[in-house]
Amino acid sequence: MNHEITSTQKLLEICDLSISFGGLTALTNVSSNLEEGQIFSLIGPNGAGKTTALNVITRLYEPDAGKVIFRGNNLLGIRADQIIGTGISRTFQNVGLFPGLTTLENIMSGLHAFGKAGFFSCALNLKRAKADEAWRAAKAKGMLKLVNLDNQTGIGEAMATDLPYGQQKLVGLARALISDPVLLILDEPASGLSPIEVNRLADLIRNLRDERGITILLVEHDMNFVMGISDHIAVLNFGQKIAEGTPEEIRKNPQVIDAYLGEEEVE
Amino acid sequence: MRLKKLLPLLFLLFLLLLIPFTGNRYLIYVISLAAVLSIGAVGLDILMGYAGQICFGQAGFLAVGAYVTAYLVKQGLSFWLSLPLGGVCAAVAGLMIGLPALRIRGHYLALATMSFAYIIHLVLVHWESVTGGPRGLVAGRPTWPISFAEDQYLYFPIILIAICMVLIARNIVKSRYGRAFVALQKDEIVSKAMGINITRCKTLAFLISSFYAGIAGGLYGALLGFLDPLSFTIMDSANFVMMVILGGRGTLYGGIIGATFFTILPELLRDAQKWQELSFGLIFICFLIFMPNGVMGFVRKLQVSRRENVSNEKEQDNGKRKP
Repeated sequence: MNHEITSTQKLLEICDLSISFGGLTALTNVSSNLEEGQIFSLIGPNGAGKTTALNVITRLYEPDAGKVIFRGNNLLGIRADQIIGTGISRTFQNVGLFPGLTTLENIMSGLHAFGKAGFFSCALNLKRAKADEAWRAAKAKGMLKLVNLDNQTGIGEAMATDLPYGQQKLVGLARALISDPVLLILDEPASGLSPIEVNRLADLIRNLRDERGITILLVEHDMNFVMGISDHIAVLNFGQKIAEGTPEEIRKNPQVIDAYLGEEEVE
Repeated sequence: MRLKKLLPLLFLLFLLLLIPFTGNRYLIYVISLAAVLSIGAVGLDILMGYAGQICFGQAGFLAVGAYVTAYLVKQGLSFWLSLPLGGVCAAVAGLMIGLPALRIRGHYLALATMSFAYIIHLVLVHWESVTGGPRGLVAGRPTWPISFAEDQYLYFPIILIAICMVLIARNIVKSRYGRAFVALQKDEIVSKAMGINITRCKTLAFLISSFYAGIAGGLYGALLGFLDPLSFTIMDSANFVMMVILGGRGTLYGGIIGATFFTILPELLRDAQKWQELSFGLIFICFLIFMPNGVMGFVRKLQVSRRENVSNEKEQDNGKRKP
């Protein structure tokens, strides 16, 4: 909605982030800023630390040093399960839908932390708990429609992990969207999808930004997808940021070509 | 459609209500016992089947509920106040076990909960001033609003409480907490990202399970009229785990089936005397081989395959009709 207001409002600030696992350094002094309404891509070779960076931002990993500031709040001061409440939600590389829950239940699980009903209200199924559940279910159906999965009958009641992979990825996206995030983090959203599905996904992501004003941070290997969709790209190599800029700038950057894109791209 | 689903349940309820009027004291006792154990098994299923935590200490929590209730009744407190207090005390014990469970999992958790059951057993034997030690403790029955000295009267509150506890358990597993339990069992990292507080949810699952055991324990004491440490051994804890597995993990109603099976089968095999335990073991193994997901898991699989058959037939019909 407020995409037109391209104010250079910093939404997420990452300052001097470092993390190592045992002796292995995964990120070294990585800094970057995300502006509101941006589609920001993080690219780089395998093992460059892209997913690690996402996991630090969503508090799944504890960094050794650095700061992560989201809308002026220090994210490093809160727990992983409190992140969603600040307006950040995410998907996972391997989708990570919960087996044993239906598609709609999986999507509804994205609203676990939201709602008014406490435990006793739920246990006794009081009015408040019923209202909460009805709200979640209605919202989950809306999300199914948003990711264009509503045209198949019975998909909501099917076990989520029985769905084809491409649909599972969309359900994962719907689960991240149900909490109305300000910042949506996507870890390899296009991997494993067919070219047609990738195109549809790109349209969907653009729509989310344009119509819902969601800022998007994504990690992806599909260069056509990344170059086509991103406003801004940062490149990681061996845990260090080697370049940052618009897709055009990144495409021409000799360091990036050397480390990741390869020679053919420029010729 | 809904009525069709409800009818068998109503019929079952009707049968349950008929039982005290048969005057068959033995039958009344066995069904009461099955209902009491069902409460403990359904609670354990929330912890084991939904939240995915293993617990070999359910009989220990049962003991806490049973002894606290019996002790308070002996001190002159009303049974209807003592029972929930016994449940709360069991839940506190569950909290104490739940906290270490946040750090350990799998086999180690099984061992830790087993040691808990053992400690409880030792306390029951040695804290004679309160528990009566090996000589046991007389457990009083409720006297309000009427005297429940006769089994056929006690039967009604037991069945009523069991039904309420199962309904509450159903509400819990269908709520966001039930979803969170399943979620954290399958993937803790993704659960965290979905805003699920793993610490709180695991602790909650232990609290619920042990509270259920505590209530079951209080009723168990009232039903038997007498408590002794031998009723709450590690073997009894293992029985609860087997009830849940036999009935079907994560199915809730499986707990009732498992508890009923574990109450009735030994009674049925009583005539076989010598072979009782052997045949019980064999039957149990057969169940595990042919119904690895428990009775309820088996029933659900049948339902699914029947539904698929129906839809396949429909498709075939449609195919035939097309010229």
